[in-house]
Amino acid sequence: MRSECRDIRESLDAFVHEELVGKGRRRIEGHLEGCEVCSGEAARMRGLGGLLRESAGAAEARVDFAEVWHKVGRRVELISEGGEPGLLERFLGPLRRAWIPAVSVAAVLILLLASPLMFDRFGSEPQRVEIRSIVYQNAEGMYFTDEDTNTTFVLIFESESS
Amino acid sequence: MKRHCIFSTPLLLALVAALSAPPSSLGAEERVDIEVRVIHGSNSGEPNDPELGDLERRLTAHFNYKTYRVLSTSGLKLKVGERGSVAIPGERMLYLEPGGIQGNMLDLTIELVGRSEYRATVSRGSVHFIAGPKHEGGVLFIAIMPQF
Repeated sequence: MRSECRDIRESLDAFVHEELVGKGRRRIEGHLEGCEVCSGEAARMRGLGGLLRESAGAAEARVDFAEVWHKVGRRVELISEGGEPGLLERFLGPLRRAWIPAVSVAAVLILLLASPLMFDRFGSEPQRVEIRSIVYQNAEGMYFTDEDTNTTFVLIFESESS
Repeated sequence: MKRHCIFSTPLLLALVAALSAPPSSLGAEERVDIEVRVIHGSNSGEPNDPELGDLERRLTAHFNYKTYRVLSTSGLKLKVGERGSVAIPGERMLYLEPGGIQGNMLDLTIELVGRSEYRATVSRGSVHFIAGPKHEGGVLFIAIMPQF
């Protein structure tokens, strides 16, 4: 790779995402006109951006987030109305009301946006705790990692009947 | 003085290389020690169990039960691919199976029968909790602590 191309590649992501203006932008535009390799790379990056936007759009079309929030909020209320507080109520104390809906929506988004492309980008070598292939039976659950203490919790919410 | 530096540089480099090299993978015959502690979280109001040690801090950072008591402590010594079990209160059974070590990460299959099954990659010195099975007015926290 030519040294000029190397310089351009460092700013290409910002260029593709319309974050460059003025001289910096013109410099890259000029280079792309004469360099097939870098213009191909720019096209590939635009394609990835489009793919992610499309996935988010598709997620939005498929999932009624207002309904998700309503259901999660209602579930938290139901738990709060019950007698003895359960694991969920004990979890994070007063922060749980904000945390639970946020995580639920985030989980939906992450599931819908996750692709082999993203996994490749972040690499497959875990540096810290990682959980794979989790299956809950007769229960619902979630998990989280506290990186400060290097601790992972797999939470299991058993139903009354189980 | 200059001569001393010339001779010590390769030694220093060799020492750094030796210290930074990742530990070798676990052989099939070597074993992983796994300690499993079953803790009961409840609101009985009794003082926390002193046996909790460092686990108390990890639990109270995220849960606000008033009392945590250690119900049992078990030690397993498992070969790669060997499945070990620990009885959990309430006629539950926990199965653990180490899948191998890479660097400072251990691949571990964890099954709490009838509730959850998964593979976790855990780092050296980490603590893995399964939290939530109900027990005597509270919940169980199963702390899994592999040593390798």
